[in-house]
Amino acid sequence: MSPQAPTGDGFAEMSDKLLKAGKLLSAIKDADVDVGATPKTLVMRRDKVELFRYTPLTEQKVKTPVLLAYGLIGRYTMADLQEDRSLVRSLLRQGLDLWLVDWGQPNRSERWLTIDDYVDDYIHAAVERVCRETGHEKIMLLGICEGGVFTTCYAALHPDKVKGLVLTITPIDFHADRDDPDTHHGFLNVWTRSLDRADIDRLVDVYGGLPGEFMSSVFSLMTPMRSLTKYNIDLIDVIDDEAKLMNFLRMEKWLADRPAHPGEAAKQWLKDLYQDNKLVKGEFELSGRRVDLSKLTAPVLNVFALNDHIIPPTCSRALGAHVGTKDYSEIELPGGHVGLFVSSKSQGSLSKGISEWLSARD
Amino acid sequence: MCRPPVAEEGAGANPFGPLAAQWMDSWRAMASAAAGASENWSSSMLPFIMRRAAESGFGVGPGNDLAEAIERMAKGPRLADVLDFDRKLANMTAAWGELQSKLAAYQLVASKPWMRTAQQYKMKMPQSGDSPSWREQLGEWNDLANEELIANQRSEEFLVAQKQLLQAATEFRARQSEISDAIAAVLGMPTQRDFDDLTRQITELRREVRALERRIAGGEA
Repeated sequence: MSPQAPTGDGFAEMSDKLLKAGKLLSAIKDADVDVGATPKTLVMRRDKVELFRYTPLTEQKVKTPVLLAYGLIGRYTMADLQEDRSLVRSLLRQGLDLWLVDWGQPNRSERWLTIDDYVDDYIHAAVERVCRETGHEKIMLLGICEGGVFTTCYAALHPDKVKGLVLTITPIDFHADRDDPDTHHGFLNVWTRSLDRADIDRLVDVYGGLPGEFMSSVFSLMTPMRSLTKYNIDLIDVIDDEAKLMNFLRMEKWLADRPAHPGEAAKQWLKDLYQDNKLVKGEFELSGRRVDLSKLTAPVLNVFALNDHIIPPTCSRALGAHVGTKDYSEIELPGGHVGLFVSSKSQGSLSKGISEWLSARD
Repeated sequence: MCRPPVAEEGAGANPFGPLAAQWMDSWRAMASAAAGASENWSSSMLPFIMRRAAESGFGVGPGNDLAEAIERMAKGPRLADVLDFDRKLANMTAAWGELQSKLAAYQLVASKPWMRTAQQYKMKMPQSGDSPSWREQLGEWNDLANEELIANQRSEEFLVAQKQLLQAATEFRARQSEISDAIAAVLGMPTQRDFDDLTRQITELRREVRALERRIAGGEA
């Protein structure tokens, strides 16, 4: 018997669903797909960077304020995608005093900003403001991905301001992808190393930054078939389920919200870190000072995803061998880079792990 | 001359393969020659002297430089500017040609995993008994293709092809910017370079002001 031909009832059903998808999507307004909607108050603006304080959802249980910093590739809304899939909301429900530093929408105007500016100016100003507002001398930092690198550098350079450091999906050893046996992991590392340094300079000089859509295409390459089937098979699969459809649309909205990475900072990110791996070598310098990971004396919690194809877990786990503190813990969770924050499975374990660790060090 | 891989000889070979390869070679040679000519032009003193000569009316004028300069400022481009603009257009065309060439080379490399997937899929197709649904077949195809595509992306051949494509795309964009900058200059509008210079100054100024603020705050404390 031959396999069932891909024609007939199956495709008729698909056609119907496609029509239905078209009608549904035309009825859903942009405002209906709200991401990053957890209430917060603007406390400070510095250039395009904004500092927010989240409105508490319950009685405060952890006294020390926690400042959340995302990277410059993508936006913080990944941590607050929707009400039932939001690390931000989960942490607020655990009684944290949560703050957010939002980099805004950098464009060519931010071409000359360096990681030095982000760490030693914007994060430093945010930390000082949080301290001033809350009366604390030190605060906790929660870094995500590239934001984890920024907060790591900050904690190493300003130990007097940091009570504890929580990192999630953060690359530290940018060459440790070679130790990861999974060939689905680490394409970003391989790809970046394949570029000439002059290519990176030229790219940034011509575009004035690392274009967001360009990075999106690199990310799409990492899950090639998923990217190809997303707007046909995947969309059709969720079209009958309003909740799943809205999840899909929110994720798409987050993916599309990808500002350009500021130019000079992108050169540092790709050349100094991805290519030269200066952070673990102790050669990375910010504002004329060497970032020495052994100066990380505050307690550190390092959370990574075991199936992270963007930041291989080996790249994150490497931190343990370099920190100066003895209070170093790891939480390894199933799932991928984005799934860690948006999947229903990881919601409880991620926020619970972080809040328990913070409570114990409050 | 280097030729792209040609389909195997025989019944399954693409009859247009050799023709396409020949066309590609000729096309590349033309693009290369065009790029070389424009590079020679731009790196020589000729455009500079041409512009200077045009500004002085090629030595055939009443000698009223000030009036001419004012008139030129009001009227905009003249012969030398037009020549320079032509050169920029030629550069952009050559860069576009190079981009298309690198895109074709990239697509050739990127197409290989699909062929391997088709071969594997054919071998895995159930011969008798089973009757998988089209979704199951599609799932099988997707799994195979995903593995092949990911393996291909990590190959040296792919990485080189995508790097060269990126280089060509960046070069084309740079040449486009040259054109827009030339138009902006003629119209008296700021160019991309002017904007970058300005934002650089603002960024540096901001750093200095903030460093000063911190020093003052530190002194007060």
